[in-house]
Amino acid sequence: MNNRRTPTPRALKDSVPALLVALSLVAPATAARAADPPKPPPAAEVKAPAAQNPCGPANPCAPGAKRKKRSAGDNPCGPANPCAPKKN
Amino acid sequence: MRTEEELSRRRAAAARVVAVQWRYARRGTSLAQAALGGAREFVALRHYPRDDAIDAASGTQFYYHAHDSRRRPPEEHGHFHLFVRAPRTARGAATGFVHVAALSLDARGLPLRWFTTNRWVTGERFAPADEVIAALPRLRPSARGRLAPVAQWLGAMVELYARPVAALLRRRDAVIARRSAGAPRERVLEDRSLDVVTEHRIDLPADLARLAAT
Repeated sequence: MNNRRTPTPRALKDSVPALLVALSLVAPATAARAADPPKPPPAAEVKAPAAQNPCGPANPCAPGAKRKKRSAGDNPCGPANPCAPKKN
Repeated sequence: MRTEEELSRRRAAAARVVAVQWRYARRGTSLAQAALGGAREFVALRHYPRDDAIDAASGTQFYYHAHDSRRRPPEEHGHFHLFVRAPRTARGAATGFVHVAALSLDARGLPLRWFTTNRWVTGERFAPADEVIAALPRLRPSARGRLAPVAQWLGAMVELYARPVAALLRRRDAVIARRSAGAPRERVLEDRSLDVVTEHRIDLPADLARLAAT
């Protein structure tokens, strides 16, 4: 990983202002949009509104939320935790 | 003590960090955009790439995403989560994954902070800091195609910030230990209000200038 030629401190120092100028001209990346809300259950299963936000404001996609079961590979948030990696 | 060899390694890593960001900037785009791998839209919590980038040889795994959190800096565009997977056993069974750290970017792709999380956030096998730190030199984030430079940049960032990341992980364990004195450890590890346990703010231009002056 580090077999490349080491840059001189001078080269490194000179590269920073140029990079900052270049980055200042770059358009900021688009912000993330909110995830689609889960589809409402069939009318017969609709319950009281208290269940609408089971996890509180701290982490709106926390594991407590019931999600519609999706096909394998279609679950963007991992099986239980919002930041879990995908399974191997 | 910082050795000449370590300094040399860090300078090489710094050069790779700059080179990748410079390459994107010259094209009028940024690392934050590149991290989405060409996806048409950026949706909260969705993984980019969709099935994560995994280097089977080293067990390194990463993805980029965004979501709200009380400790999210307002200027954060998204963050990488970096994992190391335990090698499979002789019988081929997977023995889980460990979260190394996460790295936030602003909308122009400048890194903002490294941070650690508790077990609830990723559902990891929560490993002691020393075990995670020992894995740092073996990490090889890699990806194919358009994400390849992003993976290269992430690997260089790990190398450049190996010491702060190690300190961050040790502080994480200290926070968990301190809180566990007043509550069951299991509860602390699963505490949803402790999603971000420790963080290290990054000022990349200042860090590079300091490194160049060393």
